Amino acid sequence: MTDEHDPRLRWLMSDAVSHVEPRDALPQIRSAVRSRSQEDPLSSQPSSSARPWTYAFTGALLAAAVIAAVFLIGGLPGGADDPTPAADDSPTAEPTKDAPSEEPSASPEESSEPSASLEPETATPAPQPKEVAAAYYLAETRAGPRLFREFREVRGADAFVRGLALLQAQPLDPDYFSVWPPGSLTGASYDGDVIRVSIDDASLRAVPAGMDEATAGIAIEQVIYTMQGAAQERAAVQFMLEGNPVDQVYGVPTSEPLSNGTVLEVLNLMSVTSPEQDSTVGDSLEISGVANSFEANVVWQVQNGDGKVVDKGFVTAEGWMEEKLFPWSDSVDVSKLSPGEYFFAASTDDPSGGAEGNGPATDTKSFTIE
Amino acid sequence: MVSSDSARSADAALEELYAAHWRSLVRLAVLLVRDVPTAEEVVQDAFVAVHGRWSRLRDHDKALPYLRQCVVNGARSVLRRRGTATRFVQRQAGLPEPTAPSAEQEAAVGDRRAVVLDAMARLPERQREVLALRYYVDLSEADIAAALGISRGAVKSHASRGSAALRATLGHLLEGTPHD
Repeated sequence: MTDEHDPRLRWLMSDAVSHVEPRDALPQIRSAVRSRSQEDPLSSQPSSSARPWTYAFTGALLAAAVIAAVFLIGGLPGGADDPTPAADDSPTAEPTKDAPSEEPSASPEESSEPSASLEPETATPAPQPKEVAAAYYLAETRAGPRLFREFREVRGADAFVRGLALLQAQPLDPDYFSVWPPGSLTGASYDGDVIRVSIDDASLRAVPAGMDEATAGIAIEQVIYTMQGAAQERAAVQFMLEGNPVDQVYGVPTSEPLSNGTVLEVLNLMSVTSPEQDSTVGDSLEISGVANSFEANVVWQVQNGDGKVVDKGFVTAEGWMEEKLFPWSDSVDVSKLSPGEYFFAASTDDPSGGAEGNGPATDTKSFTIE
Repeated sequence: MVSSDSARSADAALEELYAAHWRSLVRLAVLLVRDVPTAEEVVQDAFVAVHGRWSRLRDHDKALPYLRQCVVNGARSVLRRRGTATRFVQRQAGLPEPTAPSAEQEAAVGDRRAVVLDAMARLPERQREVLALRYYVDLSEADIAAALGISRGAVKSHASRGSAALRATLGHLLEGTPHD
């Protein structure tokens, strides 16, 4: 920009606003900040009305979702009511593969049914072997939208490609949804410092019609958490468009690399890894997941197709109170149960009995006993 | 507990940022939206946003760029809600300059300022944003590109088209010698 008017334009522009002496807005800003942080999560619960921006939902899944909803009465998926998270900036909700004790039955060898494979299964000889990867998906809870983790086999050249594929796929669990239509996220790279995720089109800058601010924020977290899982690092994520940082995605400012939001405000405090949705088991049901629950107590139950509780118990997670989710697992003898369809539900413990906060956080899976 | 610690630091950071940048950000916003009350509102929202995002801003030195970005985005959505910038200018055109000048000299100054703001308001959105960040905030091409999420090439072309348009409108003001 070399033109002789530069200094003059610069002067005219600062002169044009030099007389502006704004009022003092600090009191208003303070009170806006305060009322924002005191918002009641119950009152901000998103409506369950049509979401034009949830992609790839089918009627069959809606039916399953209704069953799940009936099952959850008395213990709806809840959110961040866990007492006193400790100060900690350490990684949370262990990414996929460095926590073998956490995911005993997430590996493909142990699942008795090859249920985990993305649906557009082409018959071509696999150029890339399938590997188990994790992605985070949204679901509505009493605390608002929260992220749940799901493991799944997927083909892809590297962990980032696999993560992106899962983000743009329909999750196995019908309670979950993704907000990234196929083709919206075109690539990811990691230079050891920042993970760069490319969006396909400038239209993704705007918030989709009908998506509320809370969901848009969690949608960004969905990408951040999933990509951090792929990187095995809590690296910051920079959204890119055509090779440049993009100023906003779904209306959320993104011009700078973003680190993940705090676990207790973003993740559901309960995610079930095993049983996998729609898996089949024999005499023994391996249960596992991650949670942050009062006194590390995870309560679970198995319900038959008629909604009758046929087994229940509790298991202790590896910890609680910190700003992370802790693995839990157990093995349940189901040899006495007759073959058929069942529901598994795991919840955080809520000593107040729902009197305080959002009640317990829950995750559910349907599975079949042979 | 992490929440109260980060809340405290976010509150403290908010006050510091406010003390240092409130006035200049409102002035930047006036260049974008033309009138002071709207500019104040846009910048106020930006401060609330940066507070809410504080714990997630990895690099707290980026708070100011982030604030600026919120201001630009906020100004843009305000203008879109109002309708096109052109209609906005037309509505404003008949109104007297709000700081009623008492002397003839002041009237001339007020006129000059109004002419510059009107000329900015008439520019296409991107050109206006680029020129305000370039000439008022003094950002580099790269920083403008990052703030607006566009390429440096795009910054260059918006800047050259925008300043050409401004020169055409403000020709008479550009001929004089800058005072002070």
